[in-house]
Amino acid sequence: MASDNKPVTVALSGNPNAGKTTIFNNLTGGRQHVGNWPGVTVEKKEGTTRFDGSELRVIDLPGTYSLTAYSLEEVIVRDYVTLENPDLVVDIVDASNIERNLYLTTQLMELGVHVVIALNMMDVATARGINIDIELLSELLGIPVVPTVGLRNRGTEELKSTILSTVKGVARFRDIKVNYGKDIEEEISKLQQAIEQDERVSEEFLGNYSSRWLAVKLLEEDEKVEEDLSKYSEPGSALFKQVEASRGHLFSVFSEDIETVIVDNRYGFVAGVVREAVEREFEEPITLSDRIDRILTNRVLGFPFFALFMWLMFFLTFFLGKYPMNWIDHLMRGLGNLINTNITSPAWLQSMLVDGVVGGVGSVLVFLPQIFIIFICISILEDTGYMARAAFIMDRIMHWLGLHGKSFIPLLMGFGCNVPAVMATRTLESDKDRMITILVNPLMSCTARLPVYALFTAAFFAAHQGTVTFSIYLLGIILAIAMAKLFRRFLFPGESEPFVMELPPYRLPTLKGTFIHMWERGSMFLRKAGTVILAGSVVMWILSYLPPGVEYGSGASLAGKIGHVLEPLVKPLGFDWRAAVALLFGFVAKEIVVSTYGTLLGVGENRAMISSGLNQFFTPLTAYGFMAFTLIYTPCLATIAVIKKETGSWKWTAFAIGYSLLLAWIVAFVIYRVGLLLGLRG
Amino acid sequence: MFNEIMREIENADGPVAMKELAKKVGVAESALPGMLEFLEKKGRLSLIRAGEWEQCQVTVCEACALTRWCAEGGKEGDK
Repeated sequence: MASDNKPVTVALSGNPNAGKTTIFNNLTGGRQHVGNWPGVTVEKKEGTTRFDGSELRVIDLPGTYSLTAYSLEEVIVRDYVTLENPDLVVDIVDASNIERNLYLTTQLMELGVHVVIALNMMDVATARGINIDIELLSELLGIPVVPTVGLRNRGTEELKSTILSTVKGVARFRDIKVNYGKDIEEEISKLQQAIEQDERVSEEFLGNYSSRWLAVKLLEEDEKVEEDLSKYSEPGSALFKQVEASRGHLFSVFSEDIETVIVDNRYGFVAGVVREAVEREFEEPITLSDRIDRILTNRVLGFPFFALFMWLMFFLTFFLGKYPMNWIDHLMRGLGNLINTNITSPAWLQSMLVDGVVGGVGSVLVFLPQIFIIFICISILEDTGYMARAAFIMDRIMHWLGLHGKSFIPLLMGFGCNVPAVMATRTLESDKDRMITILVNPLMSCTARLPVYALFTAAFFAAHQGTVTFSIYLLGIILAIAMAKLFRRFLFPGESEPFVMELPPYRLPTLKGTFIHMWERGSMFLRKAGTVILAGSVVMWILSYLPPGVEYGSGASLAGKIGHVLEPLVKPLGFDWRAAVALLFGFVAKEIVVSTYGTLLGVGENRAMISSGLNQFFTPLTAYGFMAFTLIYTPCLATIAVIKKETGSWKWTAFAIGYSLLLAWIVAFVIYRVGLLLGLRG
Repeated sequence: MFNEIMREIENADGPVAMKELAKKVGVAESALPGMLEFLEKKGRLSLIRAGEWEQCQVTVCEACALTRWCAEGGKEGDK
C-alpha cells in the first residue's frame, strides 16, 4: 500500500478496444512518456497525475482478453501485476460488450490485487438498450465500479477518487472468488496447502502471487507458472506430486482437460453476474444480411443457389464474351493480313510471324474478353460477400470428406490460379489436411484452362457453351471430392475439427472496385501471353516447320514425329497425334494447348478456320473427353514447382503428376467408351 | 457451456449465426467470441476471421495471377 508521500501506482488493464488509451489520456493529461516493455517491442506508456494531494503514477498495460500465457501481451500484463505489485489495477470494461470484458476481470480478481472497474462506453451501452445496475454489479463482484465515458471525459474525477479511496482502504472491497465447484475447490485447497508448506516456494516465490491463483494456474497446466515454480521446487517435491495427483483426480472426474473446465466455470460466473446486473431493453434486430443468409446458406437451398451462380457465371462469360471476342478476332486477322502483305520474304519469317506468333498468341488472346468477364463475375461474388458463404455451404461436403472446412478456401482459390491456391494451404494446421488439399487442388479448373474450353465448346457445342463449360468445372469439383475421400481413406487417415467462420455482411460491390480487380487479375493473363505463350508458340512453330521442306505441321514435321511417338497413349481415348503434342506442350501452361492448335493448323488465329480444323480431328464426344483430359492431367509447370516447394517432397510431387495423368486418362477413356456405347460418333 | 457450444456447432444443419448460437447455449452474444477463441486454442475448432479466407500465402506477389485475391497481394510487391 502506498504511503502518503509515495506515489500511488495504478495499472490500467482491459480488453483491446475497451477505450483504455482514452482513459489513460484522461487520467494523465499531457504528463506521460512512451517506451517499450523490457526485452520486447510492445509499447509501454506511463504518466502521472495529482489528485486530492496524492500523486498517481499510471501505467498503461497492453490490451488483452485474458491472463493465460498464450500471447506476449498476456504475459506482460500478468508479470507486471504479479511482479511489480501495483497498488491497484483499473480494469477498463467496455459496457457495451460487458460479458466478454468481465472475463479478464475474473482473472484479475483471482490474482488477489485491488481492482477498480472503469465501466467505459456507458453511452454506447445505453444507446443499445443495455441497462447496467452499477451498485449490484459492484456488489456481485465485490469491487468498486465507476461508470465512465472516455471519449467525453466523463467519470474521470470519480475514477481518481475511487482509486484513492480503494488504495486507502476506504472504498468497499470484498474478496469474491469464482467458485469452481466442489471437486476443483477441494483440489485448489490441497494445492494451496502444499504451496504454503513448501518452505522455499512460500518464502521466495509466493510473495508475488496469491496461493489460490498459483494453485488454479497449476491445475490449468500453465507452462510459464510451472517453469517459474520449478526454479524453487524440485520436480519430485511434495508440491509437484500434489499437482500431479490433483490433475489426475480431476481428469478422472471430468474426463476432459482441466483448463477447459476452469475457464468454463469463469464464463459461468460472468454469465451469472450479467444475468443479475444487466438488462437489455430490446433484442438486436435481425439484419438484412441475416435474412439473405437464411435463403442463400440454407441447408436445402444453399447448394442449388451456389450451382446456379456458377452456371450463370459461365453463361454470362460466353454470352457477353462473344462480341468483344469477334473484335479481337478481326484485329488479329488484320494483323496477319498486314504481315502477309508486307513481309513476303524470307518465307520462313512470314510463316513464323503469321503461323507462329499471330496464330499461336492470337488464338489465345481472342479469349481475353472471356477471361476478363469471368474475373468480373468472381470479383462481384467476392465483393458482395457471397464467396465466404460458399465456403460455408461446402463445409458439409468437406466434413463428409474428412477434410477441414478451411480446405475449401484454397480449393475456391484454385478456380483463379492453382499456384496461390496451393500456397494458401499453409493456413491449414493439419499436415494431413494440407497434403490432401494440395493434391486435389489442381482439379479445380483454373482460368488458364478456360481458353481450351472456350475453343472446343465454340467448335462443338456452340449453342450450349456455358452449360458445357459449367459441366467441366463441376466434373473437376466432383473428382476433387472423390479423390479427397480416397486420399483421406487410404493415404492420410484422420479426423478434422469443425470450424467457425466470421461472415462479412453482404455489400454492394462498387463498379470501380470490380473493374480494378478484373484488371489486376486479367492483366496477368496478358503478360503471360507475351511471355510463356509467345515462347511456346515459337517453339511449336519451329517443330511444325522443320525439317526444311516438309509440309508445315504435317506428320513428317518434328512436331508430327513427336506426336506419332505419343499417339499410342492417346489413341484409346479417340485422340490423334496433334492432341498428344498439344497436351505435351500444355504441360508448361495450359493455354499453350490452344496456341499449339493455332500454330499446328497453320491457319493463323482465324477462329473459324481453327474450329473447322478441329472438326477434322475431333467429334463432340472426343472433344468433351479432350476438355476433361485438359482439366485433370498434370498441373502446369508453375503449379508443380509450388507443390514441390510446399510439400518439400519429390515423392509427393511425382505422385501429384502421376495420379492426375492416370486419372485424366481413365476419365477420358470412360467418356469415350461410354459415349461409343451410347451410339455417339467417336 | 463449452461442450454445449461444440455440440451445437457439430450438430448444426448449416451455418449458425452467433446470435442463434448464443441463444441456444444461453450465453450473451458478446461472450461468444472469447469462448470460441479459447476452443480454438484448445484445438477443438478453428476460427476463420472475416477476410482471412481470402488471404493466400504467396511469397512473391509478382508470380501470382490473383494479386487482389489475397489481402496483401499487389500492394507491396514481394512479401
